Amino acid sequence: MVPDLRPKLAFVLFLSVCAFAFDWQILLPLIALVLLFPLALPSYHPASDRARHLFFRFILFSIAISGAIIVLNGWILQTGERVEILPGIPLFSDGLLFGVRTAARLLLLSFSVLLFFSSTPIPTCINALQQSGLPRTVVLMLLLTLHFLDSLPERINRIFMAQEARGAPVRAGFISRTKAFFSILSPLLLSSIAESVDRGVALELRGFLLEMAPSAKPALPAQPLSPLTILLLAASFFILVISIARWLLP
Amino acid sequence: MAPSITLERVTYRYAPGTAPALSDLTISLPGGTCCAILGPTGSGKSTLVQLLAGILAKHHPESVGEGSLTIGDHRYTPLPNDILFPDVGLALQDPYVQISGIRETTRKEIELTLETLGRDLVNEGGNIERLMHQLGITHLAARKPTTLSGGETQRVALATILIANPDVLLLDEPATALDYGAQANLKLILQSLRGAATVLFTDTHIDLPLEVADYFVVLKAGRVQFEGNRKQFLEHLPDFADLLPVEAWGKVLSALKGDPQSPFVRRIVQAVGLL
Amino acid sequence: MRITLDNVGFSYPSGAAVLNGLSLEILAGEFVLVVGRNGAGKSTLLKLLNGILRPTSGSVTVAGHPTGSTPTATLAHHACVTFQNPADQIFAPTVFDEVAFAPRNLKHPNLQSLVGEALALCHLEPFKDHHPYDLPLAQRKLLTVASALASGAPFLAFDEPSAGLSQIEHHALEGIVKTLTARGVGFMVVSHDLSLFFRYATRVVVLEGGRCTFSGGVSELMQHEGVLRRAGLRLPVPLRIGRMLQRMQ
Repeated sequence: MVPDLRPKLAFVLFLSVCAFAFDWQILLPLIALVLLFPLALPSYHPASDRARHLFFRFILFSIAISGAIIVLNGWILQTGERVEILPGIPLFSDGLLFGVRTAARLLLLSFSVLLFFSSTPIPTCINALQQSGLPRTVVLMLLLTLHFLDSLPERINRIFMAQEARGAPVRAGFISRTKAFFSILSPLLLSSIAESVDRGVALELRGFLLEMAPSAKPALPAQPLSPLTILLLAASFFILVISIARWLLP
Repeated sequence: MAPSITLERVTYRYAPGTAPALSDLTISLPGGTCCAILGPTGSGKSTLVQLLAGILAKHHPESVGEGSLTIGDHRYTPLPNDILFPDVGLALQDPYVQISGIRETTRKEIELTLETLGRDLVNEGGNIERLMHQLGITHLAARKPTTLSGGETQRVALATILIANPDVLLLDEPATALDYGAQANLKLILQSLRGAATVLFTDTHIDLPLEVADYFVVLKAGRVQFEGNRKQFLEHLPDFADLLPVEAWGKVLSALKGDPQSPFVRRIVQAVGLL
Repeated sequence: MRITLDNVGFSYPSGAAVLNGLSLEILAGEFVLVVGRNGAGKSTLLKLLNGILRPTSGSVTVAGHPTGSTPTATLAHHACVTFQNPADQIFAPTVFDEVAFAPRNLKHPNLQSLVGEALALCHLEPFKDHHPYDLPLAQRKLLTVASALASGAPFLAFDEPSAGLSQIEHHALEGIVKTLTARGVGFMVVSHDLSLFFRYATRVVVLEGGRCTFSGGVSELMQHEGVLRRAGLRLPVPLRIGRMLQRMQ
């Protein structure tokens, strides 16, 4: 049976709403909580070794970017007290705080999405998509996109191997890998899109876009929303309303 | 009941004003036949089968088609603009593209077609196993479909279409990656479908056609160069020697079963330069 | 320029043992045809030749370099291997760039002439500024062949190069083999299409159950119909006609 993905999706929604509603004092603990999830909760364990690998790489990358955002903002917005963190570079407290808030928002948003995808294998997402009741054309497009993203690392790896077989020492180190990655990105995207179109045609030829006769449709009981999902949706709605109210009223 | 297929003066251009991919095609196939469509790359074979499957109009909105197509009792004028699956099933030329990638095992990949059609997987379980056995892919059932070799992929791709049991089965170059053993399996499947379904398959070599087809159509630059049954095809064979590989001639010999001394055979062998 | 496989075994991390105790020696200028049923390990064998895959046991040595400790990019100077699915290799925006990739990376001084010849041999000259995906599948396959030719390596390996090709492309492939073998370029070709290559093969290797069960000349193989059948092959038709005519006399 397809696991119910709605609590997870509701959680992503909840975190996104929080990201805009709250300041860094609440966001930073939330981020810490989100990072603990893969360790603590079984449903958030990374779906594969590759997912775990990706997760950690992304965390390191985000921390680096956050640091850059904070420092940049502290340097550009020259109001508030002067703070001496980096020798010789004047940074200001207001700017730094603004940078922290911006970085925290970005981190929470990206981590919540990343958490969803790293803990849910793509075929499960696709299964859920197919049973979601969305129009088939939409499902096909989302499916092709998901498949494209899922197969991208493997394709890139195979092309790297083919490039090595023709004399380019691509896999030698991080820098050469990154250089090679960027140089093949655009043509790879184009050819992957062309292939996705063909793949869509192949799926169509298997009846994917046909509207099934009512008697042929498998009888799926409409699953009620779980209490957790309802709680998260309610909380998101509540926070959203309060934030808008706070923004509208002085 | 296997439907007959008739094309009347079908012309197809991918865009207005361009050279037609198919020109004034008139072909008549009785129901239940196995027909081979031969010709070099670019002769219009793929266009023809895609047209019959109804997949062209949607993906080439500026395309222009003339003429009419009759499948069984349905007459399509103008030409069909939506797919006719599962009555008409098409297996594309590129086997890799037909692996959807959204199912983790080969067996589930084949089941996907049935799920899409809303058919009961429990009822069809026996059919799936039988088909996999016929194609020689039973040992691949639990494998990830994206890790298969070329020949394995091609057989799995065929299975995903065959499982739907279409009345009209269209195969675009179904044997390119298959070794002789796998080709023999395919031949058996096509022979078993005779009468039950109308089969059209394209090929650039005449090995498989000479072994299974009862009807032959040779295309050249979008036009019908030849259309006829097996006997007529063999009689005209020297006319398109340039399109067909040397291996064809040996098949001719076995197809003619026997008189290697006959003047026809000597003429062929001479033409090929083996004497 | 010699390639030696010494008691090579290979298993995928998932545990499936593909090759077992395979020993083979390929001398300069040899044309080795590798045949066997689907899944016999032929593609794996090719990938072991240039270090894409490293043997789990035994060793592979290319021109004196052991593949276990030499980077693939270095081995590419001596042996250029292509894969079965063109989609796994083609990435450049134009046909020309795709073919020029190898000589560029291998730092060949006469890049233009290498690329020009490769394009001409594969009849891809008129398409050199086209996007590879604008070409039909058969020509994309030839494009992968052209990309390997342009590397100028003294040894080329192809995985089912004739699958999906029609008569015209077959002729081109035959022309390529003829031209390059005359120059002393070595080949290893995995193919079930005996008819195309049997005239040029100096040796045929049959892979069965991960081992080499036959290694010998074409005429020798033709005597062993049993081996042929187990490998999923038939006698090339010209040979069958020849035999038939002999019996007629």
